[in-house]
Amino acid sequence: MTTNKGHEALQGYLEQLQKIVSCVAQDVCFAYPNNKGRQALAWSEGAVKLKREGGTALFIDIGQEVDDPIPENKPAVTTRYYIYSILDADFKDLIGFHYHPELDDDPVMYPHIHVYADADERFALFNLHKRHIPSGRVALEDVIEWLVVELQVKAIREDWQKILAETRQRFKETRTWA
Amino acid sequence: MSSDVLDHKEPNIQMLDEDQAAKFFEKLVNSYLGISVEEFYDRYRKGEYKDACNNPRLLKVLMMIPKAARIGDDK
Repeated sequence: MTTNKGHEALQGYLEQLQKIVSCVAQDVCFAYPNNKGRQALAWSEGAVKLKREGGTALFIDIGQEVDDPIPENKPAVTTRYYIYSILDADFKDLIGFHYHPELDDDPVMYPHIHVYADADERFALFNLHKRHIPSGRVALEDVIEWLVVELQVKAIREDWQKILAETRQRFKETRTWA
Repeated sequence: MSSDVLDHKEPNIQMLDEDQAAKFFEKLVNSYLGISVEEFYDRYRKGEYKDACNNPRLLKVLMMIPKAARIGDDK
């Protein structure tokens, strides 16, 4: 059960995340307790559509699982899982940023990236889409910035760089793991 | 910056109660896995979802199972 202090910390965390997403989309953030006793977070009821320069689109499917903050002097929200999937306009996976250390009997314990490029036989030869490319922890800010700067996703607010800089700074100050 | 810049509203956050979470999850399972939520729970109980890392939609579904789900175990 989240206490008042814990609730404030969770609400503050969600507001930061929602600010990040608001740089490229206006979808709603949904949060509820999941079967592991944590908060499950998702944007939209599916993947979030992103407009690109030139009229095409991409999708980002965002999910996080975070601990309910513990009521201490300075309650913190800890991210236990994340999944940021980037999909093309046909809803086919391009890239996946994952961290899910308790997923199954033989979990991948480190943050990793999947590259879904098996249409290319050079990649298919190595089953690269099933491989876990070590990445270190990837912040949502960095994914959104990458989409805007390198994949020509349109930012929908003038102050997107300022927003991402602020949330990135706060993330660095408050994260409990890296 | 293009003319597509919007007058954004923020933050738009919805904390779902048990019933709302169950409905949200049902929609997610339907659209991501193409099966009913009952079938999902049945397969989950049988341990059929072992290789979720290779299926990003399934991975997200597993992350979003509501607290009050009728799973029948403590997984």
